[in-house]
Amino acid sequence: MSKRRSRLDIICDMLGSIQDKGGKIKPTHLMYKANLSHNLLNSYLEELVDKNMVKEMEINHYKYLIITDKGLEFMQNIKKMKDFQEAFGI
Amino acid sequence: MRYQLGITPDWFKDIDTGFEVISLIATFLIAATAYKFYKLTDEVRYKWFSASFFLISISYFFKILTNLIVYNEEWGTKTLGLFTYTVQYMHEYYYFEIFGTLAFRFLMLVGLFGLYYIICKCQDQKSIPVIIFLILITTIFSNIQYFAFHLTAALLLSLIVWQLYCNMKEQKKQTINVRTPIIAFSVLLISQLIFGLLFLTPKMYVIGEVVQLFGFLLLLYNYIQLVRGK
Repeated sequence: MSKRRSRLDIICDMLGSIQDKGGKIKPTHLMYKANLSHNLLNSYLEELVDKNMVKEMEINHYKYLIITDKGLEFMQNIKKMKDFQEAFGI
Repeated sequence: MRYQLGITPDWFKDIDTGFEVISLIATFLIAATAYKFYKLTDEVRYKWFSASFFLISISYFFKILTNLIVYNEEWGTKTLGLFTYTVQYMHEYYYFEIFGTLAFRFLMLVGLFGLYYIICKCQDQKSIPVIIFLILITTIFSNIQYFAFHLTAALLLSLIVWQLYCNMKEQKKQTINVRTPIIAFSVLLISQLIFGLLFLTPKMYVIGEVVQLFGFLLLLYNYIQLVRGK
């Protein structure tokens, strides 16, 4: 049985999934890629939009989620943090 | 009784202070980065890791301040008839010397203990007050027998090195960024053992300081590599 993801892991999975799709993704695709339920997705999405890491946009009548510069910066900082964590065994 | 900070050769005075400034900078930068990660993630372990390195940084601040006071004591020359004599003034700075040195030792040991506690992912919080009390006793005792501090610091550093090594084996990642802290803390451990041999010759202080500087430079190098994302 796989380890339960922390809040930070879920946020990283969500932002990583958007990044992997070239920076924009449909909400349903994000739900499957990040392996989240509909309710959980909406709850985390609200937080990410609130913190300006993701923005919602309508393109060709479809709703898309786009990662912002702040979201990209967050991902870079998380990577540095994980390297720091590995180095010092925190 | 005059408290002896360390047997520092005259030519090495202020050079050791310079070395300790580098130690202060290295530990402060790591503390600041860990705190930044705590603000980013709200994970408490980063806060305590930052606090531990910050304590070590503050300990060096006290050491540097004490060095500056010890190395710049006031000497006065007086003439009495045909005789000229030099008098060393002992004043209230003497008390700061003792306080400064004890503060350095106490904060350093608490910082090292904090690092070990975080790295080994200890859950037992009840033993923390007892260990801090023991550290306090060790610090006070080191006023009489200096090696008590260096021995305790060496013990804590050896525990940190061992735990980092075990963590590395567990993660199965042996990148340079993972190995460098292990080497750095090992070098710091060696420096404490060298300081413990001060009774043999004052040169041990110089060798210990140089080795210690090397350890902190390794930590600084590791920090720069991590921040640059390499």
